[in-house]
Amino acid sequence: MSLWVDKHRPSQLHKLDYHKQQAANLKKLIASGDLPHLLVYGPSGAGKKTRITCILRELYGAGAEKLRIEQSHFTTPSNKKIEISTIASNYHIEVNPSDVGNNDRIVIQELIKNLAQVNQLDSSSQKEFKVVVLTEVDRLTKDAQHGLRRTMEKYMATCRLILCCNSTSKVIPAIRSRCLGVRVAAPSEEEIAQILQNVCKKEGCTLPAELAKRIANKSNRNLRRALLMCEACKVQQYPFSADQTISEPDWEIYLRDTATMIVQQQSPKRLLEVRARLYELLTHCIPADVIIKGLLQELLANCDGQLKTEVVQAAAYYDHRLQIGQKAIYHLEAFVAKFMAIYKQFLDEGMADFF
Amino acid sequence: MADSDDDIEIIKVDKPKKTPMKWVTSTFDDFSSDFMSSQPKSQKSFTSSQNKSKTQSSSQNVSNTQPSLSQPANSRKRPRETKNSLKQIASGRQRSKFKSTMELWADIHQPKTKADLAVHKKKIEEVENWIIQSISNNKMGKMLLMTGPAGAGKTATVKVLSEELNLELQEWSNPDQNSNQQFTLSSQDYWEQSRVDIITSGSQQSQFENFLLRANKYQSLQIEEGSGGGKTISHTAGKLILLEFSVIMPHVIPLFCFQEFPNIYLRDNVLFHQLLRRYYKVGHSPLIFIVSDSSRGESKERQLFPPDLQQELYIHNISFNPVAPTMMVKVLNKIVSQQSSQVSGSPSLSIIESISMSSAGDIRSGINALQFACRTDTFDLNSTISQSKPKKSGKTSASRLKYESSKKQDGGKRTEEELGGIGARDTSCFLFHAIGKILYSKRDDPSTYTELPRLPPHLQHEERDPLLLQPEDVVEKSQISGDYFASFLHHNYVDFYTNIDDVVNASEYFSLIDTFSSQWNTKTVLENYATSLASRGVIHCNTSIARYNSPRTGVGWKPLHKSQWFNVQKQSKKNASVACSLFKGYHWEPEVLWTEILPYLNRINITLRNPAQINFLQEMGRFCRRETYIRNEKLNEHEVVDMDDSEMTSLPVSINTDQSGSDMISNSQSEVKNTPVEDDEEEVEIEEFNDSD
Repeated sequence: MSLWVDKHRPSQLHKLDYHKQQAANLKKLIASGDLPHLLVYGPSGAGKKTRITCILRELYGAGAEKLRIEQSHFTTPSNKKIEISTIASNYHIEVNPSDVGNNDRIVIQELIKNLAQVNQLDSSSQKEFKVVVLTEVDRLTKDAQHGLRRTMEKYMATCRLILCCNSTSKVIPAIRSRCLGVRVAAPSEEEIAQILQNVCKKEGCTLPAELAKRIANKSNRNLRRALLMCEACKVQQYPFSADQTISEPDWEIYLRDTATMIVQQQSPKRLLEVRARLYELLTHCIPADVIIKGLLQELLANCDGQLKTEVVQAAAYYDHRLQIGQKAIYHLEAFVAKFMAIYKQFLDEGMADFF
Repeated sequence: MADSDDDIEIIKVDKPKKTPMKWVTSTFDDFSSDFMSSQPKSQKSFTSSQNKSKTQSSSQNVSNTQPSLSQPANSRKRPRETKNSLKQIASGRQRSKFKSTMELWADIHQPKTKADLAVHKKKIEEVENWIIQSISNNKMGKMLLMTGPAGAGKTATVKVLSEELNLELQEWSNPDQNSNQQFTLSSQDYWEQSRVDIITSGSQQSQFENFLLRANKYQSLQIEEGSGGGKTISHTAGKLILLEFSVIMPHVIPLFCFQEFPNIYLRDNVLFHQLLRRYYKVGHSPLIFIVSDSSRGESKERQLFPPDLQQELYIHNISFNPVAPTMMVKVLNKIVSQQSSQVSGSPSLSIIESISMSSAGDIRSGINALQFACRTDTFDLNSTISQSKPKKSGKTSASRLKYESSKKQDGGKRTEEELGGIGARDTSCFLFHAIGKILYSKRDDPSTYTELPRLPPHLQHEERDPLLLQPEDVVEKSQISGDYFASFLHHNYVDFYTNIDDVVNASEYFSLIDTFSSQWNTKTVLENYATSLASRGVIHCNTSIARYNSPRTGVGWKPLHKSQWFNVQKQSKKNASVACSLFKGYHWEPEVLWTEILPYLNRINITLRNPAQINFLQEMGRFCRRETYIRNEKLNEHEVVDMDDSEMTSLPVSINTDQSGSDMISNSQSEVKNTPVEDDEEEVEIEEFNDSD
């Protein structure tokens, strides 16, 4: 019952479909016997996690693939109990510290300490270190990141960190400089189309090259999404036809409608309607930064050249506000209002020219 | 003083001596002998309580005129003082002198006639009509719910009306938790009335039930006798009052500590509702509930009398407004003139006005403040007040009163400062009004200000007329956190804007305040600034209300809504955690899970073993497609106040207009005009008697 994304995930470095040179380098690095801390970064759906599992496999062999989900409990100094689920093998532990919000520093420090205090039992046949995989490092609080940098050094002897994030811009320089950066770029559309073909072949179905191309194009160079789209297409209609519709997530369609609404009319009343839709999106767990990004993309399509810079600037401004603030709706709405004003002015000028 | 008397006075049979002694010393100097002598007369001499004596006097002397004669002098606002007032009933005939220093003026100067009431005429009429109707027609609703802020004259109205309509009042108040004596008294009273001996040990709840249902049962008997029993059980949080034709009014005064609510019905309102239903079936006499509301009281009232129950039992609802400043001044002036013989110096008009202003429509606290201001030992305070007066006195002349109250922040604040020593009432306003005040903010005519700073030419467009209110004060009075306030403001402000450019500016302010108020370590410090900025930003950016005489076309009445953000946040967190726990097996990063995996899982019909997963997916896949999304619940203002209040920025103003206008009564229930039975002569007599005192 697993998804294609999971089922056909390459588990060894030499089986990776793209960035083969990088894979070879990683292999060499591991073969040298030691491993620095790694910071794996790149856009969503580029294959960061895949590479990390491959590295683990390369380090520890098949044993690293026997995963179990565990619940870890920690107590903060203020006696608050926090719980976080981790995925672990005998050799590594993977955790997403941003799950616990503000208490991530405690989780990170305690977790690493617990793990690092115990040496590998049989260090002759295995590596001397265990690996801690931290995902979504860019969502860590500054506090946790500073806590991390001390911990990284202290337990260097028994423990290595693999950090995984989308962008290094939110990782403090102190951590960046302690790690070997591994950038995983998004695959090109051709590569995605090729992978889709391969996967379909393994699944025993034929994918028209035309459709593969369209999916690859629509996936925005996100391989995970491309595979999900492909699988959804298969459910929708099989055998494939070249011009069949490619389904998109509901929320994206919803967001696009919202953008259309904004472009159609610029008034306080419309703003209220948009706000209701924004709330709806937020309720569906769509992160605010994803919303603002999606909106921007849709809105830009309606903008002229000189307008674009203004709109993008506004978006960047409020995106930044989103990062510092807490009440996402304030900023989202401010952006929408700003766009409405800019766009309205543009329209009015256009009308004036017309007459 | 009076209160402590009450407590002591309520004493069991075994120590009858003590009681009269006690209160005799305080209030009724020359009455004690009479009272004592009256005791042996009573058949049921097992109690010495005045309540009883009152009951006796009313039931045995069979004088219907007596209550109207004596009670007006004593009809009280404070429930607990009722007993005291009953004493006075007895004592009234002895023409005992009050010791004005000992007695609260609020008690002495109870309203005696409808004319004395500091309540709007139409309100009184409304209540009166209801009482008359419900008595004459049993099929009609038998229950009346009176709401309003403390000191608005609810109880006084009912008492005066009951006098004038020749009804007798019966009230219930719960026994004190910690006072067994009182407990006993109440049950004794009850026995007296129902003439059934009951063992005292019944719980408060059963006592109440008995009272309500049985008092009613035996009512006919009493009516034949031409009298009704008065009975009082007082508890800290609530009380009931029965009028003669058995009009019952439980008086629920919301207290600030919740452990002070001993009444089981406040905890278990289902029981209360059942009881009410039973009463509805078997009861004959009208029942009046009085619920004072505070800013927090609303929920209590809602729990006790939910709308559906009100509908089911035909409970009529009359809400009282705070006493209008002009009324208050009138009453205070009258009291001063009556008391002038005793006070060392009568306060100036301006002091009375400032007292009436600072008491925020609570006439009881207004009178108390006045008494305090007139005391010899505190009189020197007045000099400081009057010194600070001049700068304001120009404005405070009676003709400017209305204006003044509309400038509550301006005037009210000053008077609060001035009167801090004289027990100004803590003014507060409901969230609804607070937000209304900001959104409909009014501006002043700049020509009345001599020294207004002008902005340089390039900033002309930012110039606004001076505000009539201080947003910070409004926020403070709303008694909620600034964060919350800003969120409510944010949810409602767009409706009041007509121009998208203004919205941009205002939304920019909201965005800004979120950035600097969300840091946890500076939040406490910056929160006030943030709210101030938000409210001022909203006011400033709305160019359609930039001038005091702006047409305000788009600013009609608009419903306010509750902020949705907190719900959205909660729901989103819940969904997120559910998603993570249900689809743990996939161990995706949360964001990927929400934005990519879940939407596609919905489309790829993968076999999910867990029904919870399937349900959740379906739920998450659903988006609200309605074009006009119905916004969240309306923000309920307090029942008491008419909807227009928020439009009129300030509470006192609207009351002021109520005085003259007819827009106050939103739901006048009955057209039946009834001429009240009153004994004007007698009332006047008593008044005079008081005057001479």
